[in-house]
Amino acid sequence: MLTTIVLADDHQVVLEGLKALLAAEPDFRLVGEASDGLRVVPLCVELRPQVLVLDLMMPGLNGLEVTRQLKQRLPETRVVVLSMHASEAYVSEALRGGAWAYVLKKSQAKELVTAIREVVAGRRYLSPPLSEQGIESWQSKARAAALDPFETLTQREREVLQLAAEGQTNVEIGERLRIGKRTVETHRASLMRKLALRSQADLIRYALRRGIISVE
Amino acid sequence: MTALAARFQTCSRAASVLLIASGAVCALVPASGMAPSGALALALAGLALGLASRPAPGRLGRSAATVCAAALMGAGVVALIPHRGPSGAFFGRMEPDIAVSLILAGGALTATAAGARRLLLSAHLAALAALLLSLLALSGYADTVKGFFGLAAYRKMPWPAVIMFNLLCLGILFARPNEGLMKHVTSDGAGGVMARRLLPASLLIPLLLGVLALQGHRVRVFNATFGISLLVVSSIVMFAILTWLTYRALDRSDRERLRLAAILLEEAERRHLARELHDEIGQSLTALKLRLELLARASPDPAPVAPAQALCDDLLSRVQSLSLDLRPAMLDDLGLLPALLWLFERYQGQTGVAVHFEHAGLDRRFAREVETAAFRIAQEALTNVARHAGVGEVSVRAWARNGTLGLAIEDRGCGFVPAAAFESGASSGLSGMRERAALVGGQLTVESAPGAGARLSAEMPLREDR
Repeated sequence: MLTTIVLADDHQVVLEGLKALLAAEPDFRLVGEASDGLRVVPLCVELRPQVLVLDLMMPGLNGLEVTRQLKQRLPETRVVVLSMHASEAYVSEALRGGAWAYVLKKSQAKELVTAIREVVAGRRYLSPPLSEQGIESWQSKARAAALDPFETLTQREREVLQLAAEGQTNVEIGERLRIGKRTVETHRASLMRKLALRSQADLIRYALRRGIISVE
Repeated sequence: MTALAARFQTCSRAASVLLIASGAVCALVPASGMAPSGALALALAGLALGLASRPAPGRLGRSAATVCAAALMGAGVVALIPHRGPSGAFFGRMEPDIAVSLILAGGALTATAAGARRLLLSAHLAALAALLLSLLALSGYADTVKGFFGLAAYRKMPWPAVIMFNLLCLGILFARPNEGLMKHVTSDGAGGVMARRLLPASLLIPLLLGVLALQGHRVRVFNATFGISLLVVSSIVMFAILTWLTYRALDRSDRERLRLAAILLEEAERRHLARELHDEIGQSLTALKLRLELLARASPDPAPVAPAQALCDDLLSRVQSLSLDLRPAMLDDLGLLPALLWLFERYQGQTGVAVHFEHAGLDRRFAREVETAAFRIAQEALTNVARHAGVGEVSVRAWARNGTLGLAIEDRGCGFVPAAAFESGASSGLSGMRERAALVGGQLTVESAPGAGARLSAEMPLREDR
C-alpha cells in the first residue's frame, strides 16, 4: 500500500534533499510540497495526505501553528516534525500541538523514513536521544511550582518585615539598619505589595503565622 | 501625561490656591499696601488659574476661567488710560508697570484657560515677560526704585503684589506643562534635563545676587560701583559652576545612554548572527548531509564518504552550539521559561553546579526586551556563581506577579562585598546586569557579604505584554 506524503520546508536545498531521500522508498509517494507556512494547511486540506513532513520553523506560519491547525481541520493526516532544535522545549510544544513524530535534522536520514513508517502504523516516534521520559521530565520542570511569596523578598525586605512586625517605626527601623527613613518606606511598601498585605495588622498576622515573631 | 508634567500641574494648582487665599487676605488687610481691587483681581486670577490647570477642565469651568482671565486683561487696559480709570480707596491707582504686567498675564491666562493650543507658545512668552517685569519690581524693591517707567510720581508696586504676581506667572507657565514653551522644559531628553537645571537657576541667581548687591549698597557696606562689580563677578562664578554641573549631568546621562545603546546593539547583532548560523548555514549543512547520505547509499563502496559525513555532522553541531551561545532561538520562539530551563540544563552539564528552580506565572510570553533582560541576568548571575562562589548548588526563583517579573538567584557560597564587586567593573558583570535591568525600567538588588553567600534579585515592570 502506498503512503501519500506532503513535504514542507522553506529551505529549497533541504527540500530537494528530502525529495531525493523519499523517492528512494518505493512505497512512498510524494503528492505535494510547500515552502511557505501559510500554504501548508490549504495544500493538505486539498490533497489529504497520510503524512505531512513539516519543518518546525517556517516563514509565514511556523510549524507549531501549522500542526495545531492541522490537528483541528485534518486529524487523519499525521504530522512528522523535522527540526534543527534538539531542545525538549520544542519537542514538547510540537507534541502538545498534535505532532506524531519529532525527527532531528542532524540525525541519520533513514530515521525520517522510520518515523514515517511508525506514524502510519499508528505509533509515535522521537529521534534519539529524545525520549518520552525526557519530555515528561522537561514538562514537569516547566510546570509552575507553588512559589512562596516570602521567597521573593530581598534580605533587606525580610529585615524590615521583622522589625516592622515587632512594632518599630520607620525611623527606628532606619536607625537599626543604618538606612534612611525613605528607604525603609520603600522596602516596606515593596514587601507589603509582594506579600499582598494591606495594613500593619495584616503584617503582624503574617509575621505571627510565619513564626517571624512570636507571642510572648 | 508624564509624572513630571503632572507634578508641574499640581504646582500650578497649589499656586492658584495660594493666590486666592492671599488675594482675599490682602483685600481685607490695609497694611498689605494693595488696593482691595488689585488684591481681588489677583484672587480672581488665582481662580481662573485653578480652573485652567485641572488635568481635564470641563466646558463650564473653562468658560468661567476664560471670562475671569479676560476681565483681568481688560482691567490692565483700562488702568493704562491716564486718569480715566475709576479711583478712590477701593480702586487705588495702578502703576503702568503693573498694568502692562496685568495685560500680559491676563492675555496668557486667557489663552491657557480657553485651551487654545496654537496660542500657548505666545501665552508662555507673555507670561515669561510678565514674570520678568515683576521680577524687576522685586529686585528693585530692595532699593528706592523710581518705577519701571522712571515716573517718580507713581508708587512702587507693593511687595505682596509682586510676590503674588510672580506666583501667578509661574502658575500660568506650569498649568499646561506639555504644550507651548513648557513642553521643552518637561521633555524627557537631554535638552529637558538641561532646561530644568539651568532655567530656574538663571532666573533666580541674578535676582538674589542683585537684591544682595542693592541691599549692600543701601546699608552702605560698599558703594554702587563695587556692588556692580560684585554682582558681575559672582554671576560669572555661579554660572560657571552651574555650567560645570550641567556638563557633568549631561555627560553622565550621555555615557549611560551610549552604554545602553551598545547593549541593545550587541543583542540585536547576536540575534541576527544566531539566526543566520542556525537557519542559513545550518540548513545548508543539513542539505549537504542528506546528499552525502544518499551518495553513500548509492555507491557500491560507501567507506570513502564516511569521513565527509563525520566532518559534516561535526560542523553542524558546532554551528548549532555557536548559535545557541550567541542567543538561544527558544528565547524568541518559545519564550523565557523554556529558555531558562534550557540554560539551567546546559549550565549544570558544563559546570556541575546543580540548579534548583522554582517559578510561578511564567508560562506566558512577556515583552521581548523583558525576556531578554531576565534571561541575560540569570545567565550572568549563574556564570558568577560557577566562577566565584565555590558551591555545588544554586537556587533560582522566577515569578510574574502584580505587574512585575522577578528573578532571584541565591547561593550559599563564599560571598563578596557588593560595592567592591560593582567597582571591579566588567569582571563581575554586576554593572552589566544592572544596566540590563535598567534598560527595561527595572532594578537589580545585590545582597552579599564575605562568607554569607549571595542573593541577587532583579525586578522588572511588565508594562505591555505580548
